[in-house]
Amino acid sequence: MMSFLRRAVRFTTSAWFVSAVLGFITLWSIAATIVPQGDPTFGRALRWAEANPAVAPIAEAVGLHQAFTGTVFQVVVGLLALSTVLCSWQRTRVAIKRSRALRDAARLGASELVESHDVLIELAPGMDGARALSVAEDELRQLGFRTRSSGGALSSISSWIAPWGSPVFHWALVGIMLFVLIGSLVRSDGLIGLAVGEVKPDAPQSYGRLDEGPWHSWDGVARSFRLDDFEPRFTAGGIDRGPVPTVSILDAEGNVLKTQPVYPNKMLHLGSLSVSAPAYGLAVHLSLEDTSGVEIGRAAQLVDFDQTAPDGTIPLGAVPVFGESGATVALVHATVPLVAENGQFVEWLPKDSPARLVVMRPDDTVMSDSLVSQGETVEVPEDMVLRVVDVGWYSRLSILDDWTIPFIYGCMVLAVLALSVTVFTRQQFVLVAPMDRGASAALAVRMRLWRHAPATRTDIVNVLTRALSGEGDERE
Amino acid sequence: MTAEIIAMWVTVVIYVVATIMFVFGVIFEKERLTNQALLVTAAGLVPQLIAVGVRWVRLGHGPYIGYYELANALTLCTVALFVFTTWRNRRLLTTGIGIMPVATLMLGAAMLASKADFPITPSLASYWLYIHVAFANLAFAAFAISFGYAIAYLIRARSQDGVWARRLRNLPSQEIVDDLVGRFVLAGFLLWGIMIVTGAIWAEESWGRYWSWDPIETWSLIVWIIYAIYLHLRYMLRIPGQKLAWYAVAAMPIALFCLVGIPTVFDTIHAGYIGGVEGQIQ
Ligand code: HEM
Repeated sequence: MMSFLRRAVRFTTSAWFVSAVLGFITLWSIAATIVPQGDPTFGRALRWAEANPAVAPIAEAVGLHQAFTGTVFQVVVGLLALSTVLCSWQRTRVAIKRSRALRDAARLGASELVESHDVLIELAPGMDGARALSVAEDELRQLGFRTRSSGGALSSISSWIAPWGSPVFHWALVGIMLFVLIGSLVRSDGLIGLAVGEVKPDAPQSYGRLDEGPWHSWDGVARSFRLDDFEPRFTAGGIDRGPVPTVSILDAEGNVLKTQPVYPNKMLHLGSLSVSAPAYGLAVHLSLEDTSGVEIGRAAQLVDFDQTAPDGTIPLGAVPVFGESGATVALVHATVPLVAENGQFVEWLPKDSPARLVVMRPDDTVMSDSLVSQGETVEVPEDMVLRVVDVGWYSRLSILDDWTIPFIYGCMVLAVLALSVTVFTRQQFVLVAPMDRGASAALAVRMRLWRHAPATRTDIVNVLTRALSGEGDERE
Repeated sequence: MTAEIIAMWVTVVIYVVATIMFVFGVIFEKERLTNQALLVTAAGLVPQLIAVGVRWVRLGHGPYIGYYELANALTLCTVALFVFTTWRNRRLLTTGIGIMPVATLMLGAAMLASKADFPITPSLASYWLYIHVAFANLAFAAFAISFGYAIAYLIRARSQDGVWARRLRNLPSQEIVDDLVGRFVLAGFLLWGIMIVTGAIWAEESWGRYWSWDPIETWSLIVWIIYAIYLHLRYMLRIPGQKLAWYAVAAMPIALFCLVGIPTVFDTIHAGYIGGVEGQIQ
């Protein structure tokens, strides 16, 4: 059992394994940028499948249309994560060893060095130890080593922090992968449409589209969103930011927690919430009244721009009309006919815009289909009327609730800092001390050149030998 | 516009001359000529900086948008890094034969691209733009230098005692050049990583999502992983220098493709930086 485990760990931490996994992710990702992502029976993905009948079945079979959310990718990234955990652990052990070696090297006295040297360089006759050290110092400096001399020895020792760059970097990668995974489990991510003045609670029924991770919970969420204003031409910092909504987040009592205009590069952030406003459209404000003109209820029908629709807009869902018994007696679809210019609808709020209201009975038969100006009414069942109060703007808010994001950024910053340590520091030590051997003198050298040393071991030995023994270069 | 274009053409001419000087200097073993080639290259930075500066003042933004500005900035950073590193270590002078042709070709391509003025769009209007693009440029420059060193390494490795070994004799030992390729890849990997991180933070601020597997995001990760594989082959497997050098040579064009090729080939919400229509995540 132990030996199987050990072999599995060795395999998972082997360079070939990690290179193969990284290589697979590379090829898979390239394929995923060629194969359109999304449902292969629909839209762009379908058109691609029809145009590439030879490879389409393979792409579909292996799940390339959902390349980054499908099983294949997740399993491979899981393997990479496992391997990175194991490797980070190994890197940590190496770092402990190296930084200990660096600290020991700094403490090593000249006499101990003489005993533990790994190279001996004979000195030319007549050259004494002090002179040899000074020559060696010059030579090492020329090779690019920063040297120090003390206690009759010469040393060039990199900081004990240097070896920690690699393990911290790898652990930070593990952190990123972990938090991305947790994020996908705890996140809620959805779209809410809000007409100006409208308030909607942060609850599943308010969302037009909602993706929730399996660990996401609505317990304790008691806030709501309000669209205070919509500026079709908003300028900030001298730049036209386009149509910009002003959004407020309210607490359970309706107190404003935060309010601001929301546009690209100016998200509304509150705790783990980020609110952006990716789209906008029109809103038909309707009022349901009885025959004596008393208002029974209000609703806003949200309308999206759509160049393919007959009048340039499509309704988002329908407004239900409830009768006295509480049952739905009609469904109303509202659109706003747009002005067309050069065969294109102008996606803007038309002046004095009337709304087109289609009133349907519960059995899907059309009761009326009419253009209704602002302030005018249309009849609905049970002797009620529906008044078009006005037509204005609506903003589609994208609401992301994910507390893992700052942790992901934290790990990214840590990875960058750790990698900077690896890039900008050397991992090496060179120790030199004179050694008296009676008739002849020599220089004892001990060195470890793990990473980014300015010269190789051979270079150092050659240069010192040439300078101190008066011999020619061995290598060249 | 005219002053800018004249300055740009002057730069192109200077870089072409510098490239020829490097090639002739190395082939005919004229050390003075290669030394002068470095001076000429450095001189080329002056009109290029003037052109960038003039345009910056006129448009109110730096070289961030459109192929012309992009390729110009990438070349500027590559040449500046080459001059800086070579100035500090003159023994690397002859690597100009690998780096200057690439820089000159890139600048030539920039001159063929549209020089239209693209305004800063709302999505781009952020200080993250400066940070993100700066790191993209620096990362590419580091990869381009690693490419140049790898070319020099390969040329010398192919004729150990032959004529090219003599022509490139002033270079540091093969081990050191090999190590330098690795160091520039590592530096580029770090800078590219910072580009990805700042891009993710910016995407969250601009579009509301830190990562959406858009082709540019995916390709920038691909390039990062390609270089990560290089670093593992180097530091874990200790693959022989020549194979690694070939790898570094092959990887650089992929990084270049990622920076300037993607918006041409793929539909991307990042099209804005190339002067196209940018999208939003709905
Ligand atoms: C998650 C993806 C990974 C990335 C992006 C990555 C990146 C890097 C980078 C940039 C380096 C060079 C800088 C340094 O030494 O820290 C490196 C080195 C290294 N990595 Fe990774 N790595 C990853 C996963 C792994 C895994 C799974 C292993 C285990 C097989 C591993 C083992 C190593 C080792 C042993 C070194 C060499 C360190 C040395 O010799 O000093 N890495 N990696």
